[in-house]
Amino acid sequence: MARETPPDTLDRWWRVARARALALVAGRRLDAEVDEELAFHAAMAQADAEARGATPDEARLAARRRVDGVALRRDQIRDGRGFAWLDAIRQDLRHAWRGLRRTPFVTVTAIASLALGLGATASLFAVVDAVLLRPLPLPDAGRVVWLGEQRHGEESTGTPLRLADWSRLESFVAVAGYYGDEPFVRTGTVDLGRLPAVRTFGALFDVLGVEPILGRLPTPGEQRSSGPAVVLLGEHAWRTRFAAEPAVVGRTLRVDRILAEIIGVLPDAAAALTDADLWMPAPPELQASARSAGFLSQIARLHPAASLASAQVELDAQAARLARAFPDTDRGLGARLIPLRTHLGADARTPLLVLLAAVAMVLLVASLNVASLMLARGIGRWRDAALRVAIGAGRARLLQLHLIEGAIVAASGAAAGLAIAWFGVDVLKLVLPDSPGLADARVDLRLLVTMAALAAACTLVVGILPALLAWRAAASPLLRLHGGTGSGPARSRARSALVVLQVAVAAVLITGAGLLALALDTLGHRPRGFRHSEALTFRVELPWDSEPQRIADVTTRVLDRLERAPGVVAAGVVDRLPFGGGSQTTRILIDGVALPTDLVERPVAWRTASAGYFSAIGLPQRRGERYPDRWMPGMPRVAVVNERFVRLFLGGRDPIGREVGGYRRAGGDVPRYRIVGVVGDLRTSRDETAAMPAVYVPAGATFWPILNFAVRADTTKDASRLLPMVLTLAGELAPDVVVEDVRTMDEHLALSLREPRTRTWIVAGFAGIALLLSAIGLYGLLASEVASRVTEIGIRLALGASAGRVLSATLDRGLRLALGGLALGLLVAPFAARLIEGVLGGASARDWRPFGLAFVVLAVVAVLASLGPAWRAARIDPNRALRTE
Amino acid sequence: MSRPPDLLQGTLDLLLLKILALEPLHGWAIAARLRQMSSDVLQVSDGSLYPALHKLEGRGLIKADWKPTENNRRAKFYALTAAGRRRLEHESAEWLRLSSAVSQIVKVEGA
Repeated sequence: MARETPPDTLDRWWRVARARALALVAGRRLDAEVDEELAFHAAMAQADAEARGATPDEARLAARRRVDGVALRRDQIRDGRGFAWLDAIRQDLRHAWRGLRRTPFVTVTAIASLALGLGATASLFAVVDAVLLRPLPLPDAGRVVWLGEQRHGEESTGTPLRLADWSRLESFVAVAGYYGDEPFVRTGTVDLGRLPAVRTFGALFDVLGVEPILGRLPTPGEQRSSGPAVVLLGEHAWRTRFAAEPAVVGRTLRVDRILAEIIGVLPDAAAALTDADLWMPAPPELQASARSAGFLSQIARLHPAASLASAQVELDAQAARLARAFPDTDRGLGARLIPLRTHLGADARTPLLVLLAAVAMVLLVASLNVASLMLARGIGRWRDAALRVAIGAGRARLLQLHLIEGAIVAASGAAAGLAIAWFGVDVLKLVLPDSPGLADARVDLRLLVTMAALAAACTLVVGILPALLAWRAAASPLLRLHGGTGSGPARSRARSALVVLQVAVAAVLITGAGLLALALDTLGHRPRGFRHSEALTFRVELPWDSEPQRIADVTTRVLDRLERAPGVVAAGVVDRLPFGGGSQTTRILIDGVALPTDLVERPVAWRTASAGYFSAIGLPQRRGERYPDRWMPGMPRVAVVNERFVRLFLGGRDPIGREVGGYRRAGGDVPRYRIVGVVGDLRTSRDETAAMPAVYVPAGATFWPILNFAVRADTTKDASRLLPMVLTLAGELAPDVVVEDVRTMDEHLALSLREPRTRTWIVAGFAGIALLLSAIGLYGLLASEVASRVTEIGIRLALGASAGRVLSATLDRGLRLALGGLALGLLVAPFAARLIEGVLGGASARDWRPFGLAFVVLAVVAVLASLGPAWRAARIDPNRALRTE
Repeated sequence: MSRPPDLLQGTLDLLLLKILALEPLHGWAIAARLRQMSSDVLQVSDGSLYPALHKLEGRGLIKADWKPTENNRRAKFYALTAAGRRRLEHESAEWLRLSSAVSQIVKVEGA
């Protein structure tokens, strides 16, 4: 029959909606109505029977029988009018809730495992969201791009003149450059110390699209620093250092040697670019830098009519034009646009994604474990299912019941997981290396939505298998209504499969963790080219406006004192320590040597070091002689270079006697230093395989108020033995001079490996959780199998099987499950290993040891997890086992 | 007594609509009217009647009112709604078309 619906009147819809809403909220009242209606029906039936000559009693009985049959179907009557499915869900919720409460231990365990898995995943997701996904808090943030320059394919930096060339392109509303430094800041009489500052070139604030929350932005003239200097405060600095005082605008700040007027306060949104306390237009001499001096980071805002691709095309054309117009400085020039969001997250992306993958695997194992637990919950459920089907429950309804149970567990787990994430996010912020946006990671609406999606996924994993098995059970309604203890082979097979999967995922995680640990080990033991285990360092910071003579005095005083101290073999001073962070570099020129373009642009480390420094850190002298400990005006300028420098710039020719000059910004006439010696190479960076070419000039030759002292102990003593002496020294120097950051060089090394170490530990922690969960899964399965086979084992034992045989049979089963999982896991692990190898330095997928580790660990854990159930099986008393049946 | 033929799925709805099109009735009277109108050929069990009525009510094809009977008892009277009347016309036409097609085939001699 055609079921086309005639056009419905509003009236009918209204009637239906009202009836259904009523059925939903007033189910009980409707039941009463149905009862009354049926009572009337019974009365009529009784009267009818009496009219046909039945006795009153017979009539009443007949009527009752008729109506009772109908009353049983009240559900169906109600189904006809309410939102039947909603009603059914409400019913199932009640059922599921009761069922879950009947097995509190299993339920709580299940919820706790899911909470852990979901909490860990959510915490990490919050970080990933903040660092990689969430749009920057800038207006129309999608149009803000990073403009990265390349020279001959290698990343390089911009110059003010090229910045002007990019600014002329039509694809951009604005292009700006900046660099960061840490000037010494003083307000009136108060020293604020060194604050992170951004020096701007061009309309940086137009690119960011930020408006000051107080005061104003610099005028175009001020942007070029053509008048008196101006400075803006970051919101955070304004709140923490100036007590959010509005009157701060108009006051004067001393920034290094410059007096600048505070003209405004920038909102925190500006910190999305870089977390600076001060924002000020770059000083005029830098704005007028030569074309050859690259030191700028550049960003741009795309014109509304331009796309990333169209802007890139225009940019490419401009780069080619510039390379032709300025062959001396711009040859091989390239430029690439990347969304700023992508650029800022670039360094953190890979490590975070590795962690996210690991935590997702933990969540998977947790879900599988919970699925297994739900399967194991009480045999009563199976009879229950069979009964329900026998009395006419639909199979879809049965499926629904199981999914609802899964949903309750998953939702509770998600709620508890959120609570865990609340703290987890803060923990991650502490242990993860700082990256832009990390500080903003938090539990928010986006996270809640993600959580809901994850919980839904968990519901499927947790609920679908029990549901499918219930479905199958429903296919044979007479299923063991009486028989056995209900541990159906299907259920056992399903649980076995879950355990195998768990072990497989754990195997992949353990392999990954092993791989990371090996990579870390490789990095830690890479030859560094100097003797770090015998050196101790500390730092003395003098004000940036110190007179050079004062710096020289402090240096001499400290070095004298160190050299006279017992146990000290050598002492020296340097501007930047290896692993100290930052790498001040320069382009160099060598008199009489025509360098090819790529070498002209090649950055070289330019270090200021006293002669004693080389001995102090054990950097070997290869050729030539030492230079004087300290340069004084009037002395000849001399330098030593490292071996890499000689290979790279001189092709191995003799460097002694050559004149080398370094220029950072201005180019042109720079002082030359005569090379007098060659020292060994230093390797400090994690990923770098070759050392950086370096030039060392004597302390005092350049102005630098941050003095890093290095002291070497007698080789028979540990560097930390020098600590008391340094602390005494610090006491003598105070309060005139402050000694900071006293560390052994080994500590510096360890610090430089902090990030990969943290990552390794986190993944190892995840692997441990997965391992534990798999062990619990295996244990639970074997324990319930043994419990359900007590009678059978009793009979075997009574018939003469030895306890040893029973024991080994159970162990055997546990091991076989574990080996199945291992086989599966080790099949997948190489792919994961290759992924990790591709993205992380130092990792090698060809190393067999991580796989071996996973194998051994899981095999041992499988035996341990099987021992308990196996022991219990072997200890079964045949007499009691048989009697209980 | 020969067993009354099973009502085709959906025909019960049609019959109920038809009966209620004549006058509002309560459940018992509807069952009696059905028997009477079909000369005792068609019967509906109590267990099918009420779910069917409530379903029709839920779909807005009939409406119900509590009213006193001739014996002054409270009973639930069902009546056709406008949508029910349209549905009845539609379904009746369909039914006639279908049943005439079926009888045409069944009447063919020599099968």
